[in-house]
Amino acid sequence: MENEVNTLVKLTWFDKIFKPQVITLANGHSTIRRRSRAPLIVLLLAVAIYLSLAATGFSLAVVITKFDKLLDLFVKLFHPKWDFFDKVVGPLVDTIKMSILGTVIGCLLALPVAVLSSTNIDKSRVIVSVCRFILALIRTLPTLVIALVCALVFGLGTFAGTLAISVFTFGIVAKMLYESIETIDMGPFEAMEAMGANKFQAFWSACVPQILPVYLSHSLYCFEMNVRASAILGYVGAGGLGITINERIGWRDYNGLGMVLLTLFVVVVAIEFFSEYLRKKLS
Amino acid sequence: MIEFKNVYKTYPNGFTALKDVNLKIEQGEFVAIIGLSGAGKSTILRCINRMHDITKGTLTVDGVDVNSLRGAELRRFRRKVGMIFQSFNLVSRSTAIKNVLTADVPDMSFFKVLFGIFSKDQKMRALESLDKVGILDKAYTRCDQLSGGQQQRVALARTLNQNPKIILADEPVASLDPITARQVMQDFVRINKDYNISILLNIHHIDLALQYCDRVIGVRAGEIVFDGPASTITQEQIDYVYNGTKAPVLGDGE
Repeated sequence: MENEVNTLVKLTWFDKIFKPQVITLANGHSTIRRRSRAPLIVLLLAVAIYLSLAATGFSLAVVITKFDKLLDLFVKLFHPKWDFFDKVVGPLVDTIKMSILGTVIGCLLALPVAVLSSTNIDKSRVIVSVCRFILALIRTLPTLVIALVCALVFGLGTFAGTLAISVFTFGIVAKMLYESIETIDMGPFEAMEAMGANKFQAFWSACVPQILPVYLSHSLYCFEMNVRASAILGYVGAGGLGITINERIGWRDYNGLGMVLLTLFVVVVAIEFFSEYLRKKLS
Repeated sequence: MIEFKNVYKTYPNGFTALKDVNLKIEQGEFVAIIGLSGAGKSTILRCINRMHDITKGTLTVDGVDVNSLRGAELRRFRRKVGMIFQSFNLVSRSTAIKNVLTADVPDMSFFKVLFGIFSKDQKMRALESLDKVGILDKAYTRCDQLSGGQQQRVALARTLNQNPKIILADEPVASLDPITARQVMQDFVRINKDYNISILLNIHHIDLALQYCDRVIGVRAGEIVFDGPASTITQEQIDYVYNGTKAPVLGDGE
């Protein structure tokens, strides 16, 4: 009986240790129910958590004893120094400028590369692979690393920040865009070719109208991310609010820091609302 | 005039779609191509404008050997051949007039295409093309808001706008309801008579083919097994085209 049942389900080493339960009905038909793997997985997770706690030297006692300091910091953060606003405006405008310019440059560069990375338009496997490899490479690099390299090469300041954002935007938007391009309707493209259009004319007249709304939507979404990301770029010397944040932390001026973060929060939320509104209009 | 001489077509996967096809179609003829799916109807159409290459034989259109055309020559040749598709192949997000205007794109300069600059004259001609198929009132409506029949008419207007001598229609009414299908067939008849444009269409509705077309070509497994006036075809001949299976004609089973 048991041999007959065992042939139906492939048994692993786990089932050999914890024998499956055989359920037999009154009429003699039977099925097997394999033992749950959940306890084993929970056990492995617990071991992994214990090992990582030990490795990182985490101690709950420290968290509890220093909790009042954390509270103290938060109280200061939530009591922003309002007159510090004057000193926030300049770097804030820099940050927004960096994000806008960086997004525009990155998105413009992304369009042709995205087209070259789409298998439905670009029939050359070599070009597709090369483009996708470059994009993957760019996306692997964290924005901070790109900013650091730019700051080292082009000097400290907003120029380096703008470049870093351009590179980052380029990687993300091109990737999102070629995935969208691959889902478009190629019928109109075929119709254009049958009418005697060359590849560029066919693409521009038949595919771009389909891609354009998606492209703008991706670009706006990337702009949202860039405003947030560019605030931190100053940390590595790439200009903008990050410098101010770094400086306030250095001076232990948490009230000033509160003001910086509050301004950033308001701006980011405002931009996200605006961009979301535009993106809804596009779809 | 379109002329097939001993034309063979083998697809890269080894499937032979056309076997020794010989055909002569005069300017201004209205021809229906019937046959089972996969018999080679679409292949015949798509060889005429070189969307597909032929493997052997010669195919000439107005004395031009189609298979010898390259690059710009081929594109110039295609300007004279319109094509209609079962799924319309319109840019559904764009308005009807914008779709019709795309017929002018192949003759425009790079920058005019890039920025989508069309002259007033081009726009008026596009509107006239829409008027020829009776949907001028939908010119500024987005195509995704039009019915199937209206979309096929926009596609027809786009083809007319390129001023073709030949129109190839690949299952133009297959995705339309019977009433709309008849209207679109009537549009084809009118265009054929009024502008002396040759029309070749693939069609599964034998009743429509017999009613509206002058000449019927039956294709079976890549070979032409019937070629003659629509008025002379018999039920036996139609059945033979469809591999000996009884095919419904004119209310006969449909």
